[in-house]
Amino acid sequence: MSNESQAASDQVLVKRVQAGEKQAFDLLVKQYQHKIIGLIGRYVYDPHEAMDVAQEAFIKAYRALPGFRGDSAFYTWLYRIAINTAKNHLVSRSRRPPDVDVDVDDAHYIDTDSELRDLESPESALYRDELERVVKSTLDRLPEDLRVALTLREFEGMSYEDIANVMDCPVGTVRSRIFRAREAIDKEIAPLLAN
Amino acid sequence: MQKANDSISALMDGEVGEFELRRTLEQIAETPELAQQWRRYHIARAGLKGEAQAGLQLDISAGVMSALEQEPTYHPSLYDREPTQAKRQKPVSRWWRSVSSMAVAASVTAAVILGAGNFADSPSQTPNFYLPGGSSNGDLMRTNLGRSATPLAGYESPDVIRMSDGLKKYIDQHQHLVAAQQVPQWSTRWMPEGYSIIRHELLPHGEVMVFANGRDAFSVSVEELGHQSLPEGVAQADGYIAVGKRRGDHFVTVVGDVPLMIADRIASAVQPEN
Repeated sequence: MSNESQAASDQVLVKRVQAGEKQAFDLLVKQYQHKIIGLIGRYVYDPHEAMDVAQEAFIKAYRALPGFRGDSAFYTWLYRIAINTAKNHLVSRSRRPPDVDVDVDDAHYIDTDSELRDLESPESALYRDELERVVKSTLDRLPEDLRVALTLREFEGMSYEDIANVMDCPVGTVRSRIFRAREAIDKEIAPLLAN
Repeated sequence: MQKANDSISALMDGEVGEFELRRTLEQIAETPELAQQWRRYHIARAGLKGEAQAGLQLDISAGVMSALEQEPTYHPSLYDREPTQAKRQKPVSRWWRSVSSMAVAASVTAAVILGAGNFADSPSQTPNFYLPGGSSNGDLMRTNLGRSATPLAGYESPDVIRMSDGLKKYIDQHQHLVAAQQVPQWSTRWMPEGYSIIRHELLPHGEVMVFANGRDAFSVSVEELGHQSLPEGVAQADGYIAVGKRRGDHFVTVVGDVPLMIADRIASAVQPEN
């Protein structure tokens, strides 16, 4: 999915939060919590401590949200809050924050040998790898029309309208195919996540 | 449920309209499983792209939302006439006065911005609404705490107690507020969370409400249009957003340092009390 599409999706939720609907913020938390916990984990090494700091970062973000005007993408804005919260946490514990920050665009890919450590344990890495394997193998086994629709959406960042043009079908059909593809994948990963 | 899941999928892609978004959020609030579905869809998306993070089984959202329950929440019943009137009569701190004065001044700015094209110099085109601070209108002066009031016509000092101008001013204000026709006629059915009304001025041809959250403030002016033709619209000046909307034969202006969509929603939520 393109960054633009992601930003647009986030923005509609942000607007609902700003309009007084807390439920929309729950969706943003569920959407970004793993990225934020992972990011904070590069500063705060203890996983439980990292979760507490992540929670604090989301609360700070919620309080600051009325002032968020969409000048930057929501995740970029949230990322900065998370980094600052992590650094402040370290300072409050008389620990020195690292001199090097994780760039927002590189947060996924930073070398684990760098000064900023990763909180991932071997078990956690196995679990993550297993989940990715299940997701990708399920995608490969999907009927072609579903697989193509989801692939164009997730990897090419195409809008439903553009996908409809490419696949020569109505937009409603594209929406339905993408949904059914996601449902098929969800059916496979739900037991993994439940465990 | 199936339909709701379909909407969640489309919401992930930013492909839902305003109505569907609202309906989906309502359904998620009623059915927590839908929120979990949303979470799993995003995990699957990350997995597809090889971006899955460690700790996927963790979910801190319940803790976050639980903590946010303690945050100030907007209640439509907040604007209850009796408590509001009681609030209005409480002493207002210097800080609040400063904030509210700023917002009211901004409201004047908005009226100028939004209505400038309609107000010529000729007296016949002078708008028939008034806002505090910018007018020498006697009725208006009587509503302003802390300002020097024009002496009332026919007023004579008592024989025994010589009242100060300040006390006379408050009595005049009291009479103005308790007059039968001077109860608040307008309120807003919605405001951003954390905001509460800190001032409600009743003017001869309208009302001005000021809301604040301790840091930011916005004002809502409701004015009789009379024969004037004010354009609806949005303006920005001096860091303030101003939104003007018609409400029948009244004109609502919202001014403040708030996002445009917030100001617009506030303006849309302004309604007569009855």
